[in-house]
This record gives sequence, structure tokens and C-alpha cells, in this order.
Amino acid sequence: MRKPCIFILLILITRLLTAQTDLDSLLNANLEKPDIYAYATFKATRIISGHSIERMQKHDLDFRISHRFGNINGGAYELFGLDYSSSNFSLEYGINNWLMLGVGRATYEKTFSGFTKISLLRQRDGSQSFPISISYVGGIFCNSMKWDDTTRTNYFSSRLSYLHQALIARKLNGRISVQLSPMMIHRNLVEREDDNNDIFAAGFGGRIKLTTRTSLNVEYFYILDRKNVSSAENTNPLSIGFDIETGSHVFQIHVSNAPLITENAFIGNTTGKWGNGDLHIGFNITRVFTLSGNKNEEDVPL
Amino acid sequence: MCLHLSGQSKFYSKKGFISIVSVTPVITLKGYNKKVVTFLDTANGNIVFGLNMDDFTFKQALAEEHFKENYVETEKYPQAKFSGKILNYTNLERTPQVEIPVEVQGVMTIHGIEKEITVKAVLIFGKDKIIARSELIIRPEEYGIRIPSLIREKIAEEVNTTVEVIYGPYQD
Repeated sequence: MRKPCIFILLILITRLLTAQTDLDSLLNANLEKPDIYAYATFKATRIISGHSIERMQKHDLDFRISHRFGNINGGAYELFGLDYSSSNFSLEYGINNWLMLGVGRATYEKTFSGFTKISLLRQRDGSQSFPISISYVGGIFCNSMKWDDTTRTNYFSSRLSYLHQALIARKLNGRISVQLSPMMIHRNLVEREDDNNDIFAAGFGGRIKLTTRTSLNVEYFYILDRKNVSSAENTNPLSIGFDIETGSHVFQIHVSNAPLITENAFIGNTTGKWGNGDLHIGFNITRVFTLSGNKNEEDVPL
Repeated sequence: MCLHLSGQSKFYSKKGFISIVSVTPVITLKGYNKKVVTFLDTANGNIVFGLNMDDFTFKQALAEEHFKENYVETEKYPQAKFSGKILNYTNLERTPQVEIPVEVQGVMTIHGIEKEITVKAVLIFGKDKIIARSELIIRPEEYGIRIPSLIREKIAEEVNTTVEVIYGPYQD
């Protein structure tokens, strides 16, 4: 009679002692990995000059100011290139969670531009995991310079060029992201008769986060059939830069052999060589305004 | 018979709700998590909570990204937990359908840092369910979450946190 009682008591005591660890292990067993899309693959919507996989989120508006300065090897007399600058201003907006639109104006050829970026597939963890994100970028550029030769027939269509680009990115881990961006630029009017209207190029980009708020970015574009792009001897743009994020601003500062900002300009019009020190300091500043505000909050389910 | 009872004493939910609100004169930031996992052992008042930081959703997408990337650092510290007990639970008068005030004491783990806390809560006992509700204040700094002076005016030093759970019986 006594023995079973002591036995039961012993079991009860051990159960009470292990009760907390019991609940903890139950908790761990029931806490599943979150089923979410990869976010913050890059800090901004551009890696340096080319598009990154990032979009503006729904109802976020981005005001971007970009500058590229003159040659660093101009020396102190030119303040290392800072005496000259080329710029681009743009407003970019997230329509919903897969589509963003942007409009801009660059000093180069007084170009007006517009683009759309569409998320097609998104990297995802959890039960429906997918390894990469894929987006499409379509752009149009309009040269608004006065015609050089007013004696001949000039068509409006001659002012236009187009961009089609695929962005294929993977956030490898919290620090490292990589992106492959094959692209095609079509120019309605080219410089020489033998020049190709279409330029094909492959972009490679990546970032390494140095701290939570800064990252080192690299971007390279390999242009195919470069000698048939323009009369000038073309080079492939290579840029190295830093992103510094402070809340709703991102500062992107970099060095590049490309002195121009938009795709129609830096693909095919880059002539500087890293080996010769034909480098340019440049920066982008982005300021994001959240327009959705605080109203219509989704609230407590109880 | 005793053993049998303790086996049925566990209540749980995988849809616990936690909201976090930071109010400053500049901006109100609000995030919520609807996938909080929690267990309550009615035999002894032991209670645990766990959640994935990545399951927090904010109205402002950029705030959500910064919350995860810069502050709670989900990559390094993916989960937050609480493990403790409801004080004096076994002596509690469990009048049904009435808010019963209780105190909960235990260890909170956020951002990899453990902290002993005591918070006030209410319990409502219903048929086959227990509702628990609590409001507490979390100071990010106490969990090693540093907010740079540049952003100080946008993020409150005290984050108002609300916890709401409807527990149902747990079958082993």
C-alpha cells in the first residue's frame, strides 16, 4: 500500500520539476519557421547605377538625386573631378506589391526617362520555398536636345531608345546578395550606319553588408560586340561603392569608370579605363516618403 | 489518475496576437504578429510564449524592413520567447466569464538578451477555453537594441506591447 504511493509521489515530483522544460520543448516543437519572402536583398532600388531587385513598396515614393563627377585624374586643379557633374533626378513610386513606376530627367542629352519594374517571382523561405527572385525592368528614354542638323527630316522616334532587362537575384544570407541582370537596349537612331541598333549586355552585381546600416556594392556590365556600338572606343562599366542607410535615406557613394547614370547612357558611352585612372566619383541619394500613412490600421482580431 | 489529469491540463494557441506600438510626436509605428505560439499548464500556472520576429507586419513597409534588419536583427536573433509562471495560480478563484487579474513572472528573451520581468495580466475562464490579455512596456535599450540619435525622435524609448490569446485544450 505504501510503496505505490511513494512511487506515484516520486513521479509527480519529477513531473513538476520538468514541467517548465516540458512546455519549452512543446513550444519549440510548435514554433515553425516563418513562411516569408526575402526582403532587403539590397538597400536601394539601384545596386549602383543599374537596377537592383528591390522595388518601392506599395504607396512608398522615392525621390532620387544622382550625380557623377568628372575625372579623378584631373587632379587637384579640377578638384578631382568635382568641378564637372552630370545628374539625374527621379521620382519612383510603388503602385502595389509587385509593380513600381518611375520618371526621371538626366542632364546627358537632356534625357527624359520612364521605367516600370515588375516582380515576377520572389525568393522565399518556408513551406513554399523558392531560391531566387526575378523581376523585369522596361524603360524608355527620350533625348530632348535640339536637332544637330535641321536641314534633314528629323523624326520624333529618332529621339527614343528602350531598355529591357531581367533581374535575377538571390539573397545568400543576411550579409551577401548577388544579382545577374541580362539586358538589351534598342536605339532607334545610331551614330554610324554600321552600328547595331540593339546592344546586348550582361550585368553582374553584389553586395556585402559591413554593418547593419552599411554595405559594399560592386557592379559590372559586360557589353557584347562593343566595337559596333559607337565611334568612340567603348569600355565595360565597373563600379564599386558603399551604401549608407539612415532610416528613410540611403546614401550611395561610389567610384566608377562610367560618368553617366541611366542605362541608355552608361551602356555604350563609357570610355574610361580603370587601368588609366579614368575614374569618376558619384553618389545617389534616395529619400523614401511613406504615403500610406497611419490611417486604416488593421486592428486587433479579438 | 493524477497523471491523467496533468496530461490534460495543458492549454495552447498558435494564433496568439501581439502588437507593438511606438508613439512619438513625429510618427506612430505599429506592428503586429498573429502567429504567436503559447502554452499554459493549468496544473501549475506555468506559461511560455514564442514567436518569429519575421512574422511581424507593419503598416509602413520601410519601418518593417528596418525593424527586422536594423533593430531586432532577425537574421541573428530570429525568435523572441517568454518562459515563466502565473503567480499564485493554484489558489486562484476561477470564476467563469470574469476578468481575473494576475501577475506573471518569468524570463523574456528578445534580441538574444534574457531579462527577468513581472507583468500584470487578466485571465478569463470559459468553457474549454481561457482568454489571456496583458499590456506591458518593453524598452528596446534593455535588450541591447540601440537606436541611433539620428532616429531617436522617430522611435519611442518605451514600446507599448499588447498580448491577446485565446487558449484551447492541448491534446498530447
